[in-house]
Amino acid sequence: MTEQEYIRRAEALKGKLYRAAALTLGSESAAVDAVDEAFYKGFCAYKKLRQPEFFDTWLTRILINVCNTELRRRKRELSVAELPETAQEDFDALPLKEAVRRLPGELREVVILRYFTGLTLEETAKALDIPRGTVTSRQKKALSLLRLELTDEAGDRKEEAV
Amino acid sequence: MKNRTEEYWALVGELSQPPQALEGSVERARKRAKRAAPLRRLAAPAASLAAVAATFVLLVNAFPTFALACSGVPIIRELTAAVAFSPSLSAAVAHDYVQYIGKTQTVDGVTVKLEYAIVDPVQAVFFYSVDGGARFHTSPDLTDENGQPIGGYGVSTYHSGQPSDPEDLERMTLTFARGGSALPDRFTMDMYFQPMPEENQVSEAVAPSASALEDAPDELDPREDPNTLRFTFDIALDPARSAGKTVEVGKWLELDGQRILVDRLELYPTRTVLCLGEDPANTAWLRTLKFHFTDGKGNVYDDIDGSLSASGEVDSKSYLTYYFQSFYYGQPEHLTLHITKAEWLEKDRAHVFLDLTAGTCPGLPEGVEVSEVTRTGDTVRVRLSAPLERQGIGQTFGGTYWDPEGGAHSFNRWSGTNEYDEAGNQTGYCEDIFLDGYPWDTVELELSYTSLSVYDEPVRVELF
Repeated sequence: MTEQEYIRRAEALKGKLYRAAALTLGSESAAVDAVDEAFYKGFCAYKKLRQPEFFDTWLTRILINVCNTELRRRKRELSVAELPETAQEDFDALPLKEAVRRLPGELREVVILRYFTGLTLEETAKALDIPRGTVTSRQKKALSLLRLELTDEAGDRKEEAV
Repeated sequence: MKNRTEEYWALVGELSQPPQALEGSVERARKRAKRAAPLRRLAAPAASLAAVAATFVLLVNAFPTFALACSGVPIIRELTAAVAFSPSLSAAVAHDYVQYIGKTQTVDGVTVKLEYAIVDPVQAVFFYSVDGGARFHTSPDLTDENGQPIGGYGVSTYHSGQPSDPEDLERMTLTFARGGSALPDRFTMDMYFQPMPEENQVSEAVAPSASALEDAPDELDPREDPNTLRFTFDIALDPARSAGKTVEVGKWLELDGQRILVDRLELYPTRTVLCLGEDPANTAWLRTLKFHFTDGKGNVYDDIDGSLSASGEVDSKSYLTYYFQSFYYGQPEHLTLHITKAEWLEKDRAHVFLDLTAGTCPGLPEGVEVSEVTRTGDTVRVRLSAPLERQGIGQTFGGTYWDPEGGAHSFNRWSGTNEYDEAGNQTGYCEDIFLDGYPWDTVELELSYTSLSVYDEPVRVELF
């Protein structure tokens, strides 16, 4: 992959990555920082990418790792400054955006990739490095917690809408 | 409450409009990668580099001016990544305001490399890596060349919490009180780490239950833990570090009937310090100020890195020194302060008495109520409802409380929880405080504030 190819494909993926970061981190500025960081890490490593056809899932996985690092840092800082606030979370009572953020991480990643960035089941499985069946079961559980009734194809339809 | 599907599509629509700040993100990454490239290429001949690095470390520590001369050394990828979420540190790194430390120590199979420092008069930020599965455990101890302890600083850490990739840099920040003792050029730093077992890897966030909190054991000094690993580093800082720049302002303003002086702005490579003063005739202490800045070009400088903090005064209960992200590099031509929120503590109304049996407490700030008092053995949990605007500011009470016999006690535990209405809108904020080993029926508490003002129209002060 050439530098120009990396730039072109990263630009094309920018909006999707921003959506995933914004939902995960809950802040516009933090999301922009996370996308910046993911692009930078990608830039440092794109020459090692052996299968360019998996560029999107590869860069998405980098972004997820960046976001998770930031979340762990926040959690650690919170544990010093004050205790977490989400005891006995009632997902029904939360706005959807907040409810997604409060999902357990493994469910949150799946629902964000499937329904907010438009990755297919296979792409989501590849980005998260988990079996397709695991994506399906986590997706089902996440949608149930969120009380969202979306089909497997909803992500693709969303991509057309936005 | 909206139908969940409607909510979903509304959220998808909201997220489909990325912010302007996202423009140019790929190009920013490309420039960063190019900047970091020379040293990555240099890393290839590892054997020869080792000798160069050894010489470099020797020179930096033997001849501090050499460190300054090396300020143009290419910044490595790991350091750039370690400051990615801090605009101030990123700017410092981009301007080569970094000192190479290059010290390594191994204890019980764990190797800590203290790699870089960014030091100015208000902050010292150290970057280190850990190889061998250990995590930062507690605040470091600093001693000067005579072996005397160095104090007057607070410590915060930024690290992943997972067993470190030895190539990742973690960071530790020492914040020095303004007007206190400065960090000397040469000192010894003891850093404490704890081996991290496999099962300690970070799991998903789960809030501790109240019962778990009540069962929490007393904490011992981590330094006394036999598992703690101590790493000792002798450090020589570049004495030519920046002294900062001061912009005198000298403008008085009236906030809620109190007179506050916006005295000056101090600009340092890692922080901006807003220095305030107060009229001794004020009837209330200024406890919290929330603000942002704008420049003449419509740019808003908000607390995007969450680093806004404040320090108190020796002879006042007010917080008059505020630390914000740095404007040192790329200082705007014009800067306006916009005050959005202020919290006050009336000077003659600092203490209240809580009846633990009746659950009554006259004199609480507006919007604060005692909603529940529960006693389990000798532990009392008091739940307070607090206004939404208080979220993220801090506790309603100070850290000390008194029993009816005059005995002073300290809070060891406190927690905050958001409250929501049926429509899912956040309506308030709950605080739980715990009185441990407390058999009495009343308690005297010290208020941390008595009133809170939110300015719909921010109070503006032209700084320069």
